[in-house]
Amino acid sequence: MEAKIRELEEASQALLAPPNVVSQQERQEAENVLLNLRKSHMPYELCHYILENCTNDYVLFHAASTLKEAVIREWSLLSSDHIQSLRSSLLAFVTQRSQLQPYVREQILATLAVIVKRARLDTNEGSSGVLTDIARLVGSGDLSLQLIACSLLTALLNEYSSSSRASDVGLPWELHCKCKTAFETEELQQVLSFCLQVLGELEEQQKSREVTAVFNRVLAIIEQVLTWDFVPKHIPRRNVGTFVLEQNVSFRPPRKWSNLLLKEGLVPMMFRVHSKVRQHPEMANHSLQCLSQLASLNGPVFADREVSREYLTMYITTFLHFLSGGVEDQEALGVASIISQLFVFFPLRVFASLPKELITPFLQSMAAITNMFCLAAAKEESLHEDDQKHLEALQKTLDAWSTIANEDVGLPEECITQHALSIFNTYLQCHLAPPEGSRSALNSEEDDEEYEEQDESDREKFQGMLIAIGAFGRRVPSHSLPLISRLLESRISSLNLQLHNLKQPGAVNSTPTLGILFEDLHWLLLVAGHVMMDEAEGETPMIPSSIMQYSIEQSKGRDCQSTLAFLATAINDPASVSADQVDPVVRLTSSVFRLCAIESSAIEVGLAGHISPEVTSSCMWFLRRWARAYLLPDETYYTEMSMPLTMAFGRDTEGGQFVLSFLINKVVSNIQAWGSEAGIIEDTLSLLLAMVEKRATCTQLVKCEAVWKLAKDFSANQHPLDTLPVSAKRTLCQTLVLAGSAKFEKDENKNEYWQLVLQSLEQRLQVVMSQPDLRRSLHSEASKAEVLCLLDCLCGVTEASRMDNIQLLFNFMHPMMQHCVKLLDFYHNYEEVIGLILEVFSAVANQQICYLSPANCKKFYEAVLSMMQIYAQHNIGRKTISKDVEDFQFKDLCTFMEMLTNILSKDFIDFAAPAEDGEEDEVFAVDVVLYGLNIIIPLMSEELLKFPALCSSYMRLTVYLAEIYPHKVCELPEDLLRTLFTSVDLGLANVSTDIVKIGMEFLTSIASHVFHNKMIGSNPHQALSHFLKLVFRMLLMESFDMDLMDTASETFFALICCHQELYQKLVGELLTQQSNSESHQRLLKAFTELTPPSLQLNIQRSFKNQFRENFELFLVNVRGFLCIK
Amino acid sequence: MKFNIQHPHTTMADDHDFDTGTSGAAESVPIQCSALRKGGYVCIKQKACKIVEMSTSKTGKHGHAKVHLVGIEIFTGKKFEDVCPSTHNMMVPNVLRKEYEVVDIDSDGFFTLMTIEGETRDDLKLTDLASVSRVDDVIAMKEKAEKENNVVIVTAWSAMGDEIIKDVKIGKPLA
Repeated sequence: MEAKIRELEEASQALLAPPNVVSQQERQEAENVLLNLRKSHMPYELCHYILENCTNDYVLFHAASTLKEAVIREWSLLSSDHIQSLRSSLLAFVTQRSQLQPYVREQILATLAVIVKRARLDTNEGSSGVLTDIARLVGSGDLSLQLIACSLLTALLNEYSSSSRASDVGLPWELHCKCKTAFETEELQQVLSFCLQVLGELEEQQKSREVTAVFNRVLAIIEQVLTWDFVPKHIPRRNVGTFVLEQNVSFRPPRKWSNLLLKEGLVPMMFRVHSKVRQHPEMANHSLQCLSQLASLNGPVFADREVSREYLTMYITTFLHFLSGGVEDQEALGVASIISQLFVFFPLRVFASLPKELITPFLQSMAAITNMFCLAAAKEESLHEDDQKHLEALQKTLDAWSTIANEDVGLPEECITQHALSIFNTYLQCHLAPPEGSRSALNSEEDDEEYEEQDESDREKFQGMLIAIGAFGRRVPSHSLPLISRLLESRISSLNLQLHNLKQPGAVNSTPTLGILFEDLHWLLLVAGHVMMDEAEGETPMIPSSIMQYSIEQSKGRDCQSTLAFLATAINDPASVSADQVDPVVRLTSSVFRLCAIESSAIEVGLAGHISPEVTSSCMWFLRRWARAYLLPDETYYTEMSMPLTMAFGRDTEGGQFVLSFLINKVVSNIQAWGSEAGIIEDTLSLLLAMVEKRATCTQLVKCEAVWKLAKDFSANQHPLDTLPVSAKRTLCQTLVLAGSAKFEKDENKNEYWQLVLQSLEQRLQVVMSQPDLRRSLHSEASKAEVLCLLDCLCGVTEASRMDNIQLLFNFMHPMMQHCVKLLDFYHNYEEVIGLILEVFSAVANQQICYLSPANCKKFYEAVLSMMQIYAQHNIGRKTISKDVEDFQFKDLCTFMEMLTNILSKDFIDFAAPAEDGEEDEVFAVDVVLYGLNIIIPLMSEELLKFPALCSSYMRLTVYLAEIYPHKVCELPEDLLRTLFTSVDLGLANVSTDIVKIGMEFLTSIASHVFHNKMIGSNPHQALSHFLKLVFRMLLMESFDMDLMDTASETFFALICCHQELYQKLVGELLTQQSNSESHQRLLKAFTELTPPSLQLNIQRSFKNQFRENFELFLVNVRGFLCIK
Repeated sequence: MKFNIQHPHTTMADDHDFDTGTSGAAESVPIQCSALRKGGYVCIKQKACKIVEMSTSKTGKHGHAKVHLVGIEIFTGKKFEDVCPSTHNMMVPNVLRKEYEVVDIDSDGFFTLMTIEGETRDDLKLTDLASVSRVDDVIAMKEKAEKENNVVIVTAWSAMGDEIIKDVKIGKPLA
């Protein structure tokens, strides 16, 4: 053994030596020496000897690792006495060697922890033995022993947590889970109470370096217990079998813990501990985390509301006491998360039941902290700090406030109102420039900062906070609305003045002043947008009740005329009317209208270059939100309507008409002027789409001349609409088509509109297609550009498909598709045109097919078939893909597959009426898809399958087909079938579990079909034999995701049924490979149990289920010793 | 990255008086930057390029959009980049594609090609930028095609006075 140690020592020296000292071969040999140690059979004596006699840390580490792996691997071969002695010798070893390197010690302790956990499964005996050991070590008063105790506890917690932190012990998830549950009920609480006791004792002691170290470790263990992810009573199915560590779990211990946790002293003690360690970053982090977990306490520990009220009272009392000492910068996030946890886990009713003397100062304190975070976050922003902890802290506290502000639950009303007002003011103040605000001026350097298209906009980045600020604003509308109006008005007047000056000859551009104004306007619009409307995505947007109420109150004793007069004139000439008598909601809205008007007139006089696109976008964003709720509102939704709002924005009122036409004119002017600014166009089109989607506004809209003009210009691709970005053209087309689906006053108007929108597109295509010498003329850049533009429009038209317009749109699209087929032939070398044509067909399959009647469906299938024929004709001989068409081919194939999948889905999702009797020669979706697959399969090269998106959509399509029409797949021509199976082969080797799963499902479907139809000797049957070998190896010997167990068992069973002889042969081979007679016996037994004589090899539900159960046991039993890991 | 911007572009979109050339079809036409499409073509530094990347950015939060373009030159495979205000015009080359039947290919890679009209030419050469770039492979394809009564078809791309073979495939005779 002495010699063995020397060998190992030399090997580790060689391994750790710098590269210039040892050769590659020496290193390789050294590695093998250590690897052999790790794999050796029954290495206990040797390892014990090494631990006792060797001084090389690296060798010691390997000995410990070897022990750990061997114990796991050979557990069933070890007697309980052996295990017992191993355990005590390891513990004795670490306690006696205080000078051991930490990494060696940790590894030995991890081995110990594994032994303890593994033993629990066999003996059902708790870990009290080890806990007694730990208590003894701690009780010794020797600091180094105490540290060892801490390490051992941590190792134990890691093992039991069953998360990714635990070692792989080759046990099924269920057993891990059983162990964990037992540990939770029996020992975890003990661990916590023990640690708390130690913490209390340490607190009294003198602070030496060693004491601090132990203190830190104990604190970390407490944190680990408080963040423990307890096994729930009913385990959600998706969690079964997963070993991932859940992030952000709340503290939800079992009922038994209540005595320990609800004790008076616990929370105060943790706050006291935190106050002592707050200057020590690591410990403060642990203590804050503990406090935040305690703030999330929930579940069965609270027997009733009263108990939870008492706990909350205690928590808040202590917390308030702590806060009175002030919050330090580095504590911001921790304090914020305590606040947010409290409001997430304690119902507001419980807060409301707290005594007023407690809740009032608490809210007061919270408001002060929020304001402080807000100011600090603004400072961080202006200093460009990377670590925006105050911003994050602000977000968390604002989340808590939104819960409070949105619900009325009996918290002191006036108190909340007061805080809402102060936080609202602070937020505005932080975002506005001096003198009103405190935003620091941008220096010229920042002014030149580059903003990329993918950078998150303020609107998205600060959405969460803006929602909360909006809720506060609505809480105090009498404050917020006039304030915002006033601030907006003053900035808009300054802007107007600035722009006016720029028009003067010899004007100097004062960009800094404009920049400040724009930034103010931008933020005012964002805040205003959130105050005026709450989040209404997914539900009918309504005027928020507090705003409606405020408007009603303000209208008392005033006449609406001054409001209407204001609306009519303020847009152009605000000085002429006084705002005093005006409805506050109308006043705010009018100021945004005025901003729009000023922008438009600046553009007219050639000052577009001085306008901020960002502000214009924010303006459109505001108006979209606004229009959805306020423009032509449905009065039946409201119990009470404000008169001024009805008069100004209501249906069938002059005001409403006026505003609607103002908005549509603004939309048109933006589309005309801002083709170069994709952001503005996108927000403008969203506004237009919002107006079109609301029936009331849409009906009025189609009466507006501006819409007709827009439709006409767009259909004719009139300049400047031709400069719109490609995606905008599609959306605009979609919107215009949707507008045409509105109710028109007269049918002839409707026809006229369609003429304008759709038929002009058709005519343009006709013009292109009827040029003389088509073959030549189509190649001109002008024709090509026109074709591309028209194809984009066709996609846009299709996007607008709805149940109510499907007949019309399909009748339009059908001849268009026929033209597309001809174009595909002409442009078969122009990949950009081909891509778009495929997109048109795919769009129809995606948007229209579910509504199509059988007759129309047939027409569509025919069009698709002829398109695919042309495609095939030009692509089938194209085996190699040129480098620069590769991404096109890739995209084309994706589109192609998406189209086929959508066509196949007609079998499941169909809203159309069934065919009338007497209709025959139906074209079936599956035949169209099969024809398509015939084209695609030869193109699916190994290279292309490396693209995950393509691979998965291809596999999905094939499995879809194999499940429903296995016979069609089996009847594919031989070479296609072979290519298809090769793809499946590649799929099974894919890293994505999803794709492997699809591959398995495909095999199951085919194997079942082959089996049931007794297709022995057929091509698919032969192909399956390869897969049986592959799957056999995957399941037994390779790393394999247990999530796939169910799928894999079905596949395996189906393959065995198809190839029973081959299976027997594979089993035989594996058995002969076993050198060790014991594993041979075990394996033989396992295989016999997997397919006992009682199990018929017949693909039927009951046998499949029986096999699955056997298979699960088999895997647990066999993988443990076949896969040595 | 800083771009040295020297624009041959015309400024606003209003003037459409581009050169119509002598051949009757314009070699390139101006188009406003914002309306370019990824996958389309554009002239960068007077080279006909395929647009492989297109993104926008702005200088300053309240600044106006600029378009960044990355293009691969059709004839050399070289990468070109450009950045310009999105209101500016850029030239879009007319990239023509024409198919020929391969009659022969010599060891230097020069093709003998025949048009659908039966005219022949022998001035085009196989390059690395073609989908099949080795002469031997083309010869093998030709032998395979002949057995199936098919032909090898190449597609030549031309733009801005240059021409190159891009695509090589087996297909039915053109005529």
